[in-house]
Amino acid sequence: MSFLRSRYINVAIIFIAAFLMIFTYFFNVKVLSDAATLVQTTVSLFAAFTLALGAMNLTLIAYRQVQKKAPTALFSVLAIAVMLMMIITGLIPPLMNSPQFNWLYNNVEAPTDSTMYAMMVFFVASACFRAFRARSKEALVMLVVGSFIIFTYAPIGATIWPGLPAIGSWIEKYPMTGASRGFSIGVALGGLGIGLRILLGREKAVTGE
Amino acid sequence: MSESKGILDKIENMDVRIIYILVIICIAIPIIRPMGLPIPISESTISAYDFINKLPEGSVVLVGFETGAAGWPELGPQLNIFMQHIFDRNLKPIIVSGNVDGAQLAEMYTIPKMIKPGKVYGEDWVNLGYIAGGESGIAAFASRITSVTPRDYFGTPVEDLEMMKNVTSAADFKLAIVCSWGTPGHADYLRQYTTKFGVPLIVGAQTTTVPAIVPFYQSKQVVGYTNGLRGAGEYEILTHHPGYAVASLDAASSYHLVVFVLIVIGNLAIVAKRFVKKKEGT
Amino acid sequence: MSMWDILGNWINAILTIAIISFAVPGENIFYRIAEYIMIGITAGYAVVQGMRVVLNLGISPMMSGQAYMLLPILLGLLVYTRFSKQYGYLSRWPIALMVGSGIGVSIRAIPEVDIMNQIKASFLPLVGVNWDVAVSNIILLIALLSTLFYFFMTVEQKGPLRQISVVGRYSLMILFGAYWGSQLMTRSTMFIGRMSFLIKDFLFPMLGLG
Repeated sequence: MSFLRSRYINVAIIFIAAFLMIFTYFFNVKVLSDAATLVQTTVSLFAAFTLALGAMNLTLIAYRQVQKKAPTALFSVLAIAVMLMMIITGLIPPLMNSPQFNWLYNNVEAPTDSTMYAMMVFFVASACFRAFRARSKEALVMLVVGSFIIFTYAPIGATIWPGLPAIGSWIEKYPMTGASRGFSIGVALGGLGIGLRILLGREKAVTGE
Repeated sequence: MSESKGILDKIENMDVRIIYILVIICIAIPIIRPMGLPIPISESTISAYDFINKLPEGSVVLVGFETGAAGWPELGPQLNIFMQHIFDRNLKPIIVSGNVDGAQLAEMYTIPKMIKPGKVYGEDWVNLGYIAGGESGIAAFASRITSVTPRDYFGTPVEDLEMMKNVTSAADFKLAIVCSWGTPGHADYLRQYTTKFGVPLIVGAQTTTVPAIVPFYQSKQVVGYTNGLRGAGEYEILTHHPGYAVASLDAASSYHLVVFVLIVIGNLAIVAKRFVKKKEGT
Repeated sequence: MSMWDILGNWINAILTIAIISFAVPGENIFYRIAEYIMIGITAGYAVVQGMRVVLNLGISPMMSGQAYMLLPILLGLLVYTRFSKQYGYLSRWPIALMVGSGIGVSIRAIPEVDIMNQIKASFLPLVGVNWDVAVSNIILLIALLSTLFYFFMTVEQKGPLRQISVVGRYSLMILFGAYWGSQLMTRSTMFIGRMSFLIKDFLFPMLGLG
């Protein structure tokens, strides 16, 4: 039974799956292509199963908080209640398309999700005021370039002075492109390296101890 | 001198809530009373527009609603105007999403606004719903559509949809458009659609990802892109359908100006403090 | 507008204002309530979406003759063993398949998309073009090569090599400046969306304004 716990099973699964994907990209062998498609369908299915992990974790945390009579226990119960409401309305036919489900999505999920994300507008503004100081030559370069880019993207730049977006566009098209390309190539090489490490079972965080 | 230093300290340590209120005001005022600032059109937006304009009628176009509700304010206007242009040109869009709620956003916020009278679901457009599995799911979808989306968003088997009778893989797409706030994104679409099947790609970008997209546009791997809300506004002007994006850009301009002024004030305060310190030292 | 639409609009507005109240005046109970509602509803949505995919990809095909889909369904259920101390190791198997497949589909195309095509596109004309284009192309090349060199750790960066690294650092600052500038547009756009709703779709109709 200890054999089943071995990380080499995980390494073997990762290697075989990855090898199948890579081989079928370059060579057209029908049996292997069909197997690759079946693996990808299976992966899609597994991803769908993982979607419920968040809900299960939330339930576990709420249960522990209620047991300990923690101060946030009531909030956790509220979260669970709302979660169950969403699940139940989602199961009303037609699946995930009932008026009740759409109403909850439109008036509760979408606004809370987007407003939470939108809160960053405040923190970016305050961070820019408090922390964005040109204390070094590099920071000055970053500040100046950023300022040109701001007035390239915002229409007001062209109204203040047409040279602003013209300079900003040149920066975007030439030096920024060069730097971004170098950065992307570096990231791609790094990604290949990490991918190979995982394939060969050298990343214990992924394959387990 | 110490009085000036006191004022400078007050500026530097200003209560952040004052900044937050300033942000709310600078965004609210242009929404209530738009300024009507002119919007120059970027070359990348024109490229995207021209490409869609040149596609023959009836061409199948994949539209990736790769966003959730959180990314909708920036990507939604782009998706809406792309879909409007696609319907104007009588192209046939296939809507998909690698995000759990992208397809729902399409059904609730895009289709009701952008659909033209006479268009029939299943013949003129389809929504194939959520593709689970990230890039793996996209790769499977590209090789064989029914491998990960055997049914559409409404539960109808894909084989029963008129439009999908001759569309089995990404090789049948004339164009892919992706509007993404993370993954799957333009990189995944480039790898799975463009490189393997030669499908041209247009990106409706979140502005934060534009620095990463520009090299791919310059290398012609991406045939065109729109830059966030600004790009959506430009596209609305090009298609003669000015709407939400054009109306909202004034608020964006106002915010940018206020933040720029805050940065200048912050840096000037530092410079002034150094000057005062030097003077006090001498 | 029906009663449900009006109620929905009010709930939408109240939740939006509750979350914004985190900024002004500061963390409060209304923000907390809205936050936990968001957590719960997002989790619930994900569950329903997951169930739908399992139905479409697993159960429906299995019921219509593809009996072999039972194996992926059973393997998929192993994901939930992660909550068990005794059998938690079984959850790594489906995760391993996802990781392997994901790595395979991405690294097979990365050399072409992210490396070769990008290098090809860097061969820009320096002669036969206007002088300003030629200078700009040279600047692009300098930025590209110096940035690549900045990450090159195999040789010690000293002497003239260090100067190239310094240029690389400044090139990266240009890139980060562009990223910072682009952040402002994204963040402001998100908030404009919410403010647009509050003002045009909630406040104006309530006050009877256009």
